[in-house]
Amino acid sequence: MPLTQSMRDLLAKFTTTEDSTSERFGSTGAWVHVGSSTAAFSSTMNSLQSTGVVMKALDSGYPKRNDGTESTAANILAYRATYTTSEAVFDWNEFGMKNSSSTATGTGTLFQRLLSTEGSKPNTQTWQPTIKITLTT
Amino acid sequence: MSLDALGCIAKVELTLRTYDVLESGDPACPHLHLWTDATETQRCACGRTVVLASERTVIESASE
Repeated sequence: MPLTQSMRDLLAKFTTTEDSTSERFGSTGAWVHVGSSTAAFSSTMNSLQSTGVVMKALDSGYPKRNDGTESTAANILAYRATYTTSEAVFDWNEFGMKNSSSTATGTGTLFQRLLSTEGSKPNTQTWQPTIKITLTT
Repeated sequence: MSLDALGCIAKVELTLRTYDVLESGDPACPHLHLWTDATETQRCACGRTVVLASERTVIESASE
């Protein structure tokens, strides 16, 4: 499963309140990252792997948790962003949630990284990825 | 017990919706102001209607 080691450690920090507000995946802290790399996932990764990663802040009203629509349970987190026509015009292959707008591996915490070949985004369309993460016991 | 069973992410689900931006309204608008009306049609403040072109969901679960 695509949980990163850095997110594993951040979850531990949450329980001891060692985290800072800037590390939380809230409406202003969470960023959707999209890239073109098809490199296999490793839990040591802390960023997407392509050089042209484009990040977006969340759409209004996100994240959602147990809202009955996008998130249908207390353990489901739903994040959504909208990429406009001119943004991220490349092959979409990797998707991640990060608590930073920085694409650098040394900054912020990458929650997960999902690989999926979604094709090339044209400059005539807006694309809207929704990432739902289900936490479990 | 597998390590997956001990993991704290059971599933990651990606839903990608793509929208065609119809060529009407203000051409200078970067479409940063999308909103969804009561009929689930996305619109932009510049007047362009944004039409759902495709929707696809992929799921990566712990058992995979």
